[in-house]
Amino acid sequence: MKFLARASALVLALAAHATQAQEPVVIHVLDRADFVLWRSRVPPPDDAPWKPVTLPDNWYLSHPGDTQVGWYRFTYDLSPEQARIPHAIYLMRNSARRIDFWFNGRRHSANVAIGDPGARNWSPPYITTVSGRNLIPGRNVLHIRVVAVPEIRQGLTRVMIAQGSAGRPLYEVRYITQVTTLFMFGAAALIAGLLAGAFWLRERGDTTLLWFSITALAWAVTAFPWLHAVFTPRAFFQGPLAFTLRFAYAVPMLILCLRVAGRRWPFGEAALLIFTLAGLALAWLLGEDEQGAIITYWSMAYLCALFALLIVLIRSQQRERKWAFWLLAGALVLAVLLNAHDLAWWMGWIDYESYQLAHFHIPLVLFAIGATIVDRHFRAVDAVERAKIELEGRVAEKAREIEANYSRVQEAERERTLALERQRIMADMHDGLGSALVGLLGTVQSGSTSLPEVERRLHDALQELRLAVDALEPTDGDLGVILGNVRHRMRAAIESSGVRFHWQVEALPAVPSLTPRAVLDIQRIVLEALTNSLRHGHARDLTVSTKVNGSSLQIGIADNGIGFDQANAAQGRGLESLRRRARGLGGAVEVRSEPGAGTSVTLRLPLEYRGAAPST
Amino acid sequence: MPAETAPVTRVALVEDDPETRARIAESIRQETSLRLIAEYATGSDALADLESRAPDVLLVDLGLPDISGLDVVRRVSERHPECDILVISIFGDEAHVLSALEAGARGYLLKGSLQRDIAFDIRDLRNGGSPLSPVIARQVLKRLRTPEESPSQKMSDTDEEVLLTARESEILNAISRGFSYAETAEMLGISVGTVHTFLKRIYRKLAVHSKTEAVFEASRLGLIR
Repeated sequence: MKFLARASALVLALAAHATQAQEPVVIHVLDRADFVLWRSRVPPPDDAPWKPVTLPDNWYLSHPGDTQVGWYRFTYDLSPEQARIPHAIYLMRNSARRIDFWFNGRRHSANVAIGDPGARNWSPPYITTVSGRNLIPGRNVLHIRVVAVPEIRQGLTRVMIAQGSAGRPLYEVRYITQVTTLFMFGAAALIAGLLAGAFWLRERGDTTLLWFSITALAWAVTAFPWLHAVFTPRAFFQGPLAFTLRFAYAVPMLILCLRVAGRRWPFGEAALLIFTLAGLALAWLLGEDEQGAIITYWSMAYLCALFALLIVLIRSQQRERKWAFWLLAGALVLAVLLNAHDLAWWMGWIDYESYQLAHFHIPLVLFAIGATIVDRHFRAVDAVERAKIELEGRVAEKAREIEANYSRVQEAERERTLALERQRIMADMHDGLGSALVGLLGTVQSGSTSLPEVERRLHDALQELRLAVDALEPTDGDLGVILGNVRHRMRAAIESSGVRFHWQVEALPAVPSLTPRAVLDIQRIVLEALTNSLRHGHARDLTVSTKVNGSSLQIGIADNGIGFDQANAAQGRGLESLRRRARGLGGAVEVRSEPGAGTSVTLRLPLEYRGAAPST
Repeated sequence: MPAETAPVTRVALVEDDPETRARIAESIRQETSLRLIAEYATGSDALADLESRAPDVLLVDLGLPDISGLDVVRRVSERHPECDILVISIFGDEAHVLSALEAGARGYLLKGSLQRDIAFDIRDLRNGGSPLSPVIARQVLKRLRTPEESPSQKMSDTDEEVLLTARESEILNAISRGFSYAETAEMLGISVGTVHTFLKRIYRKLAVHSKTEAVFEASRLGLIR
């Protein structure tokens, strides 16, 4: 991350270049000075043992050891015009316990509250205005008194004397990068931590949420150093507090990453925790001058842990590489790099003026883990949704099964009824058809019947048998079909009789509860009425009509033939059998006939048919 | 002989019972418009002889001693589609007649009908098809339901071939309620000839349907893939 320092140098160069045309020098970058270790509060005399030095001057490298006091002496030239306008003195890193500025032998100002933990951990830049009174045309001399703790890498950066507000943008860029971002991340972490905590309260079993919350909140506390400046008035506590803040969030974050990777290392985690607590205790016990070593070792340890974690994460998720995994892996890689950068700075391996960048890894890691948690949440929601759909499918399947079973049971029931009906019809035929055949056989044997009569009676018997077979066909109680079948069976007889046949059958409702036996009885009634008309009626017209009348059905068979006298006993018997059948169906037959006035037979049937009453 | 006005219908008969055969043959001989050209006592005799020639009308008893009458119907109707086949049935019951229709028969003749009825039935058949009984019409309606009535029909690609059109359904519906062809034609405002044409189409659909259904059944049982 040295390039940032390079970039700022480039900005300086550009600014200097851009303004050279009108004004020779806008910003004096003072990187050479004379230096002397000197404890006095006023600038040392010119015959003190000054030695030339190059800035930046990291005291950890140049003056290791305990806290010391030293003086820097700079010279720079100002034109008369420049000397009249105010300047600002800008330091990229406000990194000493105390810094006093003396312009041309006159004390100007000093940095204040430099000892706070924020200043020590995140080293904000420093800027202060220098009024024209302190500047003179020609050669100017600047003395800077520095009290620094070498162990915590204090010292002095290059000094910039900027004309007017020229130093302000440099300061702002530096301040935003080092401090404002810190506050922003802190605020974001605070909100995220509180949210995660609230979610965790609803979902106590989810330790990832808990660790996320702890990490975020620990970081939020770390990210508000000014709080500690306010609440830690005694400078004595500032050193240990700075150390605590620097490392407080490290253990929760490492554990959090472990949880996200689906790992749990009780020993490793406990060791990390003990290690951290030991570091904190040491920081509180040891003085400021000894803390540098603790920070060095602990930083290295955490960096190693972070690196190990990255390896564990990559290995643990080898099979399932979702975007969330790559996000977290990327965040951890950056975390390692950023921490390594800051450690390199700490060790004095890179430019003293480099930015501190480690804090940028926190929002990255938190964001990556937050995304993982959200992703996991939505996966869970999806899984629930899928499970719901699957369950619905299974319920539907069960419902279908039950339906199928039900219809199977119904089918079995229907079969059983049909078998029963078949038995009844067989019994019927035994009585009816059987006795008719026996009677016929008797008359044939005795020779008392003519051949056409035998043929007719046999034909009737066959017709009866055919009707019985038809009645067993599944008609589902379709009365239209039931009546139509009678006509069909009598087609030849009707057509050969020469009668004008009128079929006035309207669309009839189905009566599914009609049993085969009831069907047969209806057909027999209609058949008998038709047969009587055809054989005895001598009619020109024969009409079959139907009429639905509320909940009853009316079937009429009417002719305009010769009619008959209802008192006639022989025909009365035939009518009696019709009536008996109709009663068995829960209906009635009405016969109207007079000699010479035709015959009409009307069968009335209930449409809510509940099955035949047991016939005697 | 009125040969120039009405062409003589050549009839062949497959019936194993000699008495019935003699009786039917007698009825045919009495009818001047019919001529009996062959009688067979077994199905294999019939199939062998009918390989090369075909009568106008073939009467087949379903209960033959050697092979099923349905096989005779199927083979002859495949070989000679122009030949009208009537099966001889005692009862004219739905199960027998429907399978005969599916095999390619055009109607049935009741065993034990009065003699005049046989000529009557053959004449009907030549005029466009023997009358469908209401019970069978209803069964055909149920089997060849129109798509609106059964949206879950599986054979969508052969719908055209096997499903009933609205007009065909109307005709079957009227027949199932006992109306004659003439009455049906009058009710629907079409000619009797049109009713016959529709019925021929329905018979064809029934035969195709029985084949696709067999294929469907077979694939369902895993016999065909």
